[in-house]
Amino acid sequence: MSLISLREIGRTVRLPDGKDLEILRDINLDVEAGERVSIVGRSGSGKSTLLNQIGLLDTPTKGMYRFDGIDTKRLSSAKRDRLRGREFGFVFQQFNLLPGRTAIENVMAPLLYATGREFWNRRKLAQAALETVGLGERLQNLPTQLSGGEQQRVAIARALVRKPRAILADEPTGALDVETGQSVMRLLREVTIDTGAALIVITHDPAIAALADRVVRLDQGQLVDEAGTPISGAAIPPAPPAAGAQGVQA
Amino acid sequence: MTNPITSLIAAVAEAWSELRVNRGRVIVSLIGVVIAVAALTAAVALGNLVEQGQREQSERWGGRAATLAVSMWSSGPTPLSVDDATAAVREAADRYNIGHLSRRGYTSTRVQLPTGVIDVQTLAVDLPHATMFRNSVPEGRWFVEKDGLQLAPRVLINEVFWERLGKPDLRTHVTLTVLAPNPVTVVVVGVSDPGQMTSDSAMVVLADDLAKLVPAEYLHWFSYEYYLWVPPEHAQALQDRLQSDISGSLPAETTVDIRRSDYAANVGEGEDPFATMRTILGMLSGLVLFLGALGLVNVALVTVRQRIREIGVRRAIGATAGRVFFVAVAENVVATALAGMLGVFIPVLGYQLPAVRAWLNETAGGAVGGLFDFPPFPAEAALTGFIAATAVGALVGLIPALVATRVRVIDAIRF
Repeated sequence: MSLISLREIGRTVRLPDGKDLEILRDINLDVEAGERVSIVGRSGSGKSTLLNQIGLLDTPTKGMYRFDGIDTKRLSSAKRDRLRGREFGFVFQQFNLLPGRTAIENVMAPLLYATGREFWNRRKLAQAALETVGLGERLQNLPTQLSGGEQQRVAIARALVRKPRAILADEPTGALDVETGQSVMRLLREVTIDTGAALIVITHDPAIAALADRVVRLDQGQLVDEAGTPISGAAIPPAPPAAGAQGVQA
Repeated sequence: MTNPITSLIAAVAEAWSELRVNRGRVIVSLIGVVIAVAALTAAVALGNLVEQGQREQSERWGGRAATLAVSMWSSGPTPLSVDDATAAVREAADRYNIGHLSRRGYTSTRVQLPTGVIDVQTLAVDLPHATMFRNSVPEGRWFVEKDGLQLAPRVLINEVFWERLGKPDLRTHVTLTVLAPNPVTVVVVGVSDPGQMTSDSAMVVLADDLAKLVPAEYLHWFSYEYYLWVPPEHAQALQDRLQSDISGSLPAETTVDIRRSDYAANVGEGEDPFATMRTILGMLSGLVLFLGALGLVNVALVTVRQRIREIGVRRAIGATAGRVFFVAVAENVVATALAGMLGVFIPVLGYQLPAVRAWLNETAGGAVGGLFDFPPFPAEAALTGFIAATAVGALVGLIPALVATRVRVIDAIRF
């Protein structure tokens, strides 16, 4: 059973003129635990919308999404929220750190929605996560006192701190220079290898896409092969999880 | 599984953290609430003082609750003897351990001044009158026990008479000569106007001294009204007993009329004589609080829009809509409760300042020469202010909280 299983997923939005715009069409995709997948495609191809579906930030208008066998459509809003907080870590292009909070407070934030030991030990866990990303000395720094790369590291620590089973990164290097971007991607790769979390990254950068086990291409809301021909879900079997493996599949 | 206690603690911790981080905004937004609560609390307290002033004014006319007024007259050929009437009332009062009894009778005395003889309206009372009717004495003093033993009767004069005498210092043993018709020297010990008699010269004397100050024939048709201050809960029973006892000890042709003279006597069960004033003050206070709340809503809505992206991020990292709602409301409740405490503290502090107290005393009790009993700061005013602030916080918090929860997560993150 795949960790993430999308079947015939579609997402349509109604435009102000009353017409429907189909952003995603018949998406079939499986992602295994620990797998690293890159999603590539031109701007407006539906990459972020697909990532939002996977991360339960948005709901599909069609199809079925199972996470670890759970039909997410049947979940109440609160259960979806809790599942999202527990099982997904998000890394955004613009970092999206909480303003006015220190690095450690930002990393502690997801643990405010946890219970038991995770909640009570939140400071210790957050400190450990920041040490993991090399920011053990910057715990009390505000986002404005950190460089872009450091802010993204804080965001990665925040994504990791609840030990999610999938980390979803939407152009995580988009706001960084090349060198810093590579360093951030190396970090993301290392931490997902260490934690066994699946990593799904949206990127325009072929070099970064190549770091994944598998590359998924999107064009006009459909999964396509390298030639741009729409493909069905059956044609993109998940790659076997292999720590450190690199390669491109389409 | 979620643990509700941990969730609650976590939500409160989050709300507190929000307050701490946004303290600048919170302080600015709550200035209006502090002012509104201070105004509300002050208005309630002021209302209390005005009520006290009005009550004291009523009590100066009709006595404190419960005051029984006893009038007697004879329908026979001869008038009722003042001494008999007084003895009957005193005997009855002693029987029921009523310690506060005062006669009150109006007459006129002739006073010799350097410029000639004038008629002075004179009120004869007993010692407890000042307590029973909250009589203030702006200058000098009220009667004391030993005044009744003095050869020269002690008197109090009203402000008009005192001014007519040139406002002499009462410590200099100011005397007057009363023609009764033989000259009698009286000593002025205080300035007071318990009977609020006239705008002309007036005098107060002890009832036991009255016979020394008026010709005997004046007293032939003279009568007193007798006032007894009794516990309100026993007023009705005592009224009935006194009626029976006093009537029984006087000639058959005597009519004894006993009625309650205090303001509370005309108030029915459960009625509030100050209900109208309270309603008006309450409406004004409510309006002030409403304006404060409007300011708070405004700031809350503006800031929630600024914070939508942040709310989106929190939703992305696991905050449920319910949690965001709770934190937004709790943040407002905690903040406005703190503002409420500050808003209550300001008038409480002001109430203790001597200059403010003097002004309040003049405002509330000016009509009666200042309050007899300056009430402590009313606890209900403080409580009303605090509860109102917290309630406003909860209500106002609902609006941004609803906005925060209705926004789609993905839209909020991109906001």
